[in-house]
Amino acid sequence: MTTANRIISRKTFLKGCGLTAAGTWLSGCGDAGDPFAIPKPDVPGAQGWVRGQERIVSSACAQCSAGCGIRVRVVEGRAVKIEGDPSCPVNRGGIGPRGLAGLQALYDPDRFQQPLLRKGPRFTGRLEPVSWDSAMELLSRRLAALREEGRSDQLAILCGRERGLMRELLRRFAQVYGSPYFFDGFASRNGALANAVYYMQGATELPAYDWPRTQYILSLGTEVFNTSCQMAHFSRTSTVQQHRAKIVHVASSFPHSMSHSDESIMISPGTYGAFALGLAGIIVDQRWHDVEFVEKYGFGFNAWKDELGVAHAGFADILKHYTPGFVSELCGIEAPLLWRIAKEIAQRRPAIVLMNTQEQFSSNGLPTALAVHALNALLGSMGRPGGILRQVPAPVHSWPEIQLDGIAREKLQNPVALGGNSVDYFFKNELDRLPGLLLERKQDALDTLLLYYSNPLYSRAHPATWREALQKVPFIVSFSPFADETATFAADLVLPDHTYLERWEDSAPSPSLGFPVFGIRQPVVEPLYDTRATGDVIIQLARQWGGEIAKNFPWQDFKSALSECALGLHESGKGSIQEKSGKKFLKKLFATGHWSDAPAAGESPRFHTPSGKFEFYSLRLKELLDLRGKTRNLSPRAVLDGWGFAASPDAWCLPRHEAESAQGATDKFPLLLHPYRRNTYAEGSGANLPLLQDMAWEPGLPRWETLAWIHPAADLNQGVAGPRPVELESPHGKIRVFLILSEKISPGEIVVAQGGGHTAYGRFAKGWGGNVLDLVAPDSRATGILPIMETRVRINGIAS
Amino acid sequence: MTSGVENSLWTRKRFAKALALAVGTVLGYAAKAFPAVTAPVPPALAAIKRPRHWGMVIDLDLCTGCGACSVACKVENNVPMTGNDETHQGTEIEWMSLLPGPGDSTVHRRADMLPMPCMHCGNAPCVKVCPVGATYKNEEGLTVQIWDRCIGCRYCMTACPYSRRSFNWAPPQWPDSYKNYLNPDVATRPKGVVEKCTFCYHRIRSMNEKAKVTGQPPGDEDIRYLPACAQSCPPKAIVFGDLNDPQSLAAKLSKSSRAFTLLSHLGTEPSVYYLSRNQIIDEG
Repeated sequence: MTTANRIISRKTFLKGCGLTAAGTWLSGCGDAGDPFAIPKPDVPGAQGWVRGQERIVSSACAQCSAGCGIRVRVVEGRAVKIEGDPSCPVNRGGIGPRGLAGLQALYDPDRFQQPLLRKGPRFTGRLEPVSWDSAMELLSRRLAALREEGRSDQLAILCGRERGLMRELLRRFAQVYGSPYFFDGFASRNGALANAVYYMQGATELPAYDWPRTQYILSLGTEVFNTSCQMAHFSRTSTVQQHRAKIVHVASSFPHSMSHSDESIMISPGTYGAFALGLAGIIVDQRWHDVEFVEKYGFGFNAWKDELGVAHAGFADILKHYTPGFVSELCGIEAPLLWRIAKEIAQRRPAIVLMNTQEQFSSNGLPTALAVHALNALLGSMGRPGGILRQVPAPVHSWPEIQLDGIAREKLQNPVALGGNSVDYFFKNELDRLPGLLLERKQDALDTLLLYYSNPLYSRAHPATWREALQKVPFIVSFSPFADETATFAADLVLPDHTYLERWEDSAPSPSLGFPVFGIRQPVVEPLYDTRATGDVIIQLARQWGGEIAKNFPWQDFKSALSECALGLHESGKGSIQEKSGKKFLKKLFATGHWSDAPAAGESPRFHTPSGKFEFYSLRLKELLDLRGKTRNLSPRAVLDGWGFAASPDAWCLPRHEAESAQGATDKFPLLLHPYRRNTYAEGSGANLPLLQDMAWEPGLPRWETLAWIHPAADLNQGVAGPRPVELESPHGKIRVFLILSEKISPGEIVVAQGGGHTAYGRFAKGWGGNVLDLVAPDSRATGILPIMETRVRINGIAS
Repeated sequence: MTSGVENSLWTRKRFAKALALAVGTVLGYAAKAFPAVTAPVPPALAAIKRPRHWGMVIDLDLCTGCGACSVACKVENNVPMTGNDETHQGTEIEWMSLLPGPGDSTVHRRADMLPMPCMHCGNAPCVKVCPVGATYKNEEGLTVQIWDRCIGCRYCMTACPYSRRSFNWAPPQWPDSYKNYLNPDVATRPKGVVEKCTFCYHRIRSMNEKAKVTGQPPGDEDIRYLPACAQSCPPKAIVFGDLNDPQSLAAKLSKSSRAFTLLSHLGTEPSVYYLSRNQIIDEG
């Protein structure tokens, strides 16, 4: 008691005593007579709460794609704290800074509070409030008319990094409506790795990694505890099991001192593929590789002949070029180092070789991903405990099969060509090609664009090009809950979604865990404003129209669509929740916030490739090349020239190193741009959370700035000594950054943090730093991959 | 003068009365909330014979420097936002900071970040200099501070060798809607007051209250990850506990061969121990 007496002053304490009848110790702080009291504004639903009453609501985080379970403490109808859910196998109670800052997204003071309609022209006009009824009628009429005129393929939907059922709902809507133009933001992020996995393994999903059991992690550019997709999971599992794998972090620059690896190796920018092949060369040469796997499951390891008797090179032939001497010179390291790493990784199995998401954004992204994946196969990690696993999907029910009417069927078969001259990879980066295609066309290619968690005017390459391209779309609808750039400046109609703490949704963690998880997001508080869940809006829209379209959406709202899927988990009879009836199952699922099952252990590897094996030489890539040659009557060499590849046709189907083709002349633009994502970045959507911007990179470094790092030697040539604000220029644009000198950066490279330079997105995001993507080339050219990592820049001098 | 004494006597009497009333109501309410309790069981806390000494152990070999502890602390304790302007004046308020570790400039190793809460020194320099007794050592080893009693002289900030104290140069400000998420268990600090880490004392207290009601003294498992920073830490690098309880994880870890304290030569006797395989930063 005396303790209580001392920690708060006597005066406050007496007040507190008077209020203890209400049941809380410190609610005295909220007393009206207290000069230090911070009165809380009214919130909807607060009337239903007794003073001091609190609840804990289980849900799933949506601040990044990891899908951690969360428990939200709600007091008197207000969410006051987000904590990690100890029972969720994804994060086991741990939670990262982004997840903790989620309440600032819910209570963002600059959120859209009702539907808005643009008055006046784009970029200058204003958004004015409109009722849901008239907003829905406007959209419904427009889309119905478009469809009646036989122009249903002029609707496009841009879906952000969302996975899970909302993505499926929007995809379904596009199909049923009769438009093939559904752009998947998630696919555009991991295109190179996803393609490598598809072409070598035949898998259509990104691989999973057996984090808890691996012995060795070779991370090519990825900071496993920081920028990888499963920071919390990896941290908790490795700690809980009291086991730590050796982590070797290979990168061209180390801007953040939190790589937390056992060893760091600096290599030249863009040579990750060569590094992997150098290791592979030594491992094969010494016969340290998994000979059994290669013989039993490998295809194209050695030279081979096709059915016509034509001889083709194998992976082993390619490796002969990557001698330790050649590779170490290319990567700027010592040959003995390469030998040591090769020996270590071969001895400490199971091992995992990781590739960074960011590194995939260069013209050599796919060859590098192929090389990395081939190294994993050589080490025998495929399907092994502690190695690379298949992501087991949660056994949810699928929705009833899509029934298309005549209009939809016709338009899906013969859409207005938004196509272009590029490689038809399995995972195509259609999203980043969109502005180029829109600008190429004289006629309006699209009539209506729906934006779901997409803010291309900030978060896609070269927003200025997007701005121009979006002017060619007559009607743009944004579902963003936040006042982002695209909604603020370009949208004609804003139908704000609830935030993730106010709506029903499933949470599909990014693949990489191995075991199936189905998370539930649910309203932890009553929606604060007059917003509506986009899932409900889409279902309502489709049901209004009746006919075939409505039949495909047989649910009252998104929660029932979600429940229907979730019942599949109950019927599978597997997993963490066992209940007799479906109703009870759902109740338990909503109470715990997640369902999970054990990983598929001990599966023998299965490969859905043409050869049925793990293809070091990808037959599907060869097919792609042959098909193009056949349809255009060209030789394979001519096809590759057309696409802009220098590799020989055989080498094109094999893992290899390819030099990056940087944009901009070396003499005019001496520095190679390396955009860098911190763990708080998440497509720029963390910029409106001051808690994250308040986090210092390092004490003494400015917060709320776009930081850029160069090597001190590079600075001598620039004539600008840091730390100070400077202007960066590329052939595509200029931005202001805060320059810092650091020896952890490759000379010749400039690392620039992403996330600054917003021109909208609320009071906290707006007006500081610069957007790195302003510097980046807008098109993904023929290679089909956005060359973000290949931009060259120069420092123009000190900025004011 | 006399009336002053009378006055204060009267206040004390009234205070005692109010105190009794408060305890009564709390127990009454708690008895309702926990119907399983048949009668108030006072010996619950008496079971703990020696005073507790709260301490923290931070394993730098596990810390990844993700920053979760720092953000968790700010949300839990209603720490005012830093904002853009204050940054440039160096006036930000942070109870749990991530400082760069001792790693040299070219080689990266683990333990390159140093999470720094208040050290809750056994021999606290800040306590010695406080002219008004606003900050003092309590019987559980915590360096606590009465916000309302602080006169803002900032002697304690000067005295603290770890720079773990921050001054409120301005009244704490949040946009209206952000006020919704302020933790009702923690008072906000007014302008002109020094503030610092409390080891989430409100959580310790609510744990004690619960123990009083249920008669079950909290076990070490309930305590290990009690503060907001320790609870959120993804690699579980932060362990909290009673250093006087030889069975507690924190006490065991603090005796590890990897354990050290910061600036130990100053004789501050910190309650925060660090663990690292590399013998580092002893001399500051």
